[in-house]
Parts: sequence; C-alpha cells; structure tokens
Amino acid sequence: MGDVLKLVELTQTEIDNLSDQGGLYMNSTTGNLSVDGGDIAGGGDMLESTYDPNSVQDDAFDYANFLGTFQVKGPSTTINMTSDIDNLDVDGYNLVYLTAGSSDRRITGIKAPPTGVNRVICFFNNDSSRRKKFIGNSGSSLADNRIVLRGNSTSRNFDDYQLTFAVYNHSINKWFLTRIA
Amino acid sequence: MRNFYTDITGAIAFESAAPSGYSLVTGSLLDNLWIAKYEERREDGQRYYTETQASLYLSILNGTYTSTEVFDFESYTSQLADQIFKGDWYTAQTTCSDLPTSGIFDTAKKAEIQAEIDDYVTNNY
Repeated sequence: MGDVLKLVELTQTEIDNLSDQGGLYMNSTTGNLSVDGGDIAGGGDMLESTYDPNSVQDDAFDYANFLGTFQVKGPSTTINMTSDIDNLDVDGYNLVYLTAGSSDRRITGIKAPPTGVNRVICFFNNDSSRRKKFIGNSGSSLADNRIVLRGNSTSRNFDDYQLTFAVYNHSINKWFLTRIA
Repeated sequence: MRNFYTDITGAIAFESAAPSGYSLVTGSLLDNLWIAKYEERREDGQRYYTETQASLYLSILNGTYTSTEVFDFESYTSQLADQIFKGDWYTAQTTCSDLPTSGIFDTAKKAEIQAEIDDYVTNNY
C-alpha cells in the first residue's frame, strides 16, 4: 500500500505525549497550528501589528472599519511667525498652526519632500486678525521649495482663521495649495 | 511702476526694475501674471471696502456718527468706493485726492483713507 494521510483529532496533552512529534498539528480546542508540537509564532505580514495596526479587530470589508474616521496623521506644530519665512521646514509635522503677533507675514516656500514622498501639510491660520501671504514662485526660496499659486499669482492672502492644504507636485517640483483667497 | 521679471529657475519677481539675473516676463505668462495681479488687487479692495463698512456701522452703534451721516458719506464717496471695490487702487488714489471734504469725509477721514490707498499703491504698483 502507498502512504496514507490520516487526519486525527488530538488534544494538546495527547500531542505532548507522542514519542515522535514530527508533523503538523491543529489544536482542536484553540484552533492553533503547531509544527512538531511547537506553536507557529507567525511573522511578516501575518503579525497583527502589521495587518491590523489600529487594532480594529473587526470586519475588514466593512467600509467604516476599512476607512475609519478621516484623520491627518502625524504630530502638529505651532509656528509663531516673527518674520517672513523662506524655505519653511516643517519636516515631521503634518498639521501646522501659524500665528503672528504683530504683523502680517509671508511664506515664500516650504521645504520639498524627498522624491517619491507625496507630502501633504495642513496649514491653519490661527490668528484672528493677522493675515499671512503665500508668495508664488518666489526667488527667496529654493526652486524646488517654491509654491505655485492659483492663476500663477505671485501672492495669495491666507486670511485669519483660514485653512489650506499644501500638496507637493513632483511633476513640476512645486507646492500647490487648496484654494485660498 | 512694477512689472514681472523671471530668472533661469522660474522665480518671478514683481519689481520696478529687473533684479540681478532677472529678465522681463513675456508672452502668455505675462498676461496671466497681470490677470492674477488684478485679481489680487480686487480681493484686497473688497476686503478694505468690507472693513470700512463694518467700521462705519460700529461707529453708528457706538454713537460716533449718526446713521444719516454714514448714509451721506457712503453716497458721497460711492465712486471712490466702487473703484476700491473693483481693485482700481491707482485710479482711486487720484479720486480720493481730488474729492473735496464733505460731512464726515472731513480732513482727518480723507487723510486716513488717502494714506491707506497711497500705502497700497506704493507696495503693489
């Protein structure tokens, strides 16, 4: 006769008592798999921390579980603009709160992300009376850090209590802003 | 008066003379830049107009002026207001200068408005 593959149901104690534990087992109580009597630790993509990093632990095909609450991830920072800013460096921050105590201020450029990084930054003007201005294609900032404004404008007001998203365009290596004034 | 200049990196400068390394923008880009500039001036004018409206209304509420005085002011300065609202600051500069004082558009108010228009023209034309 040829080899026979026979499936039998064993308890963990029965597995432990086998003299030769070579084989693949499934614990009938826990459903856990084990090889040669030892648990499979799992790894790579099968780690829960990888496939469910937010510990949703629910139906992955349910839209709400899949998308969750929309969030701009990452830490925030507040920048008090005591002067105009060229090549604004907010690496590591996706939420940027801008303040300026005594005067309207200008931003002429934002540090560009590395190639392949589709960077999005959310800017808030947290002042109740001080406007900011984003300056288009300004020579005061490095070429790749410059901002292209709607209509190729050289200046757009970022009014008090306004919000804008800055998105880097790797096609022309410039920042774009969602519409402001 | 300012015009648009560009350098080899594509930077745009709005200056009264070409900065070092810059040359005058030409063609459709120049057209688009001027369109955008007029749009900026109009938006700034609308904001200034709105701020003035709010200020006048508050002056009625706090008793500085009567509503009749403010209505007369708005009527008397309507041409000036229209020009500012449309972003024609340069034209408004002359209009304000030529407009005689009347009512609450007195010497102080005229000087205040003139100074703000002059400042805008200096920085944006």
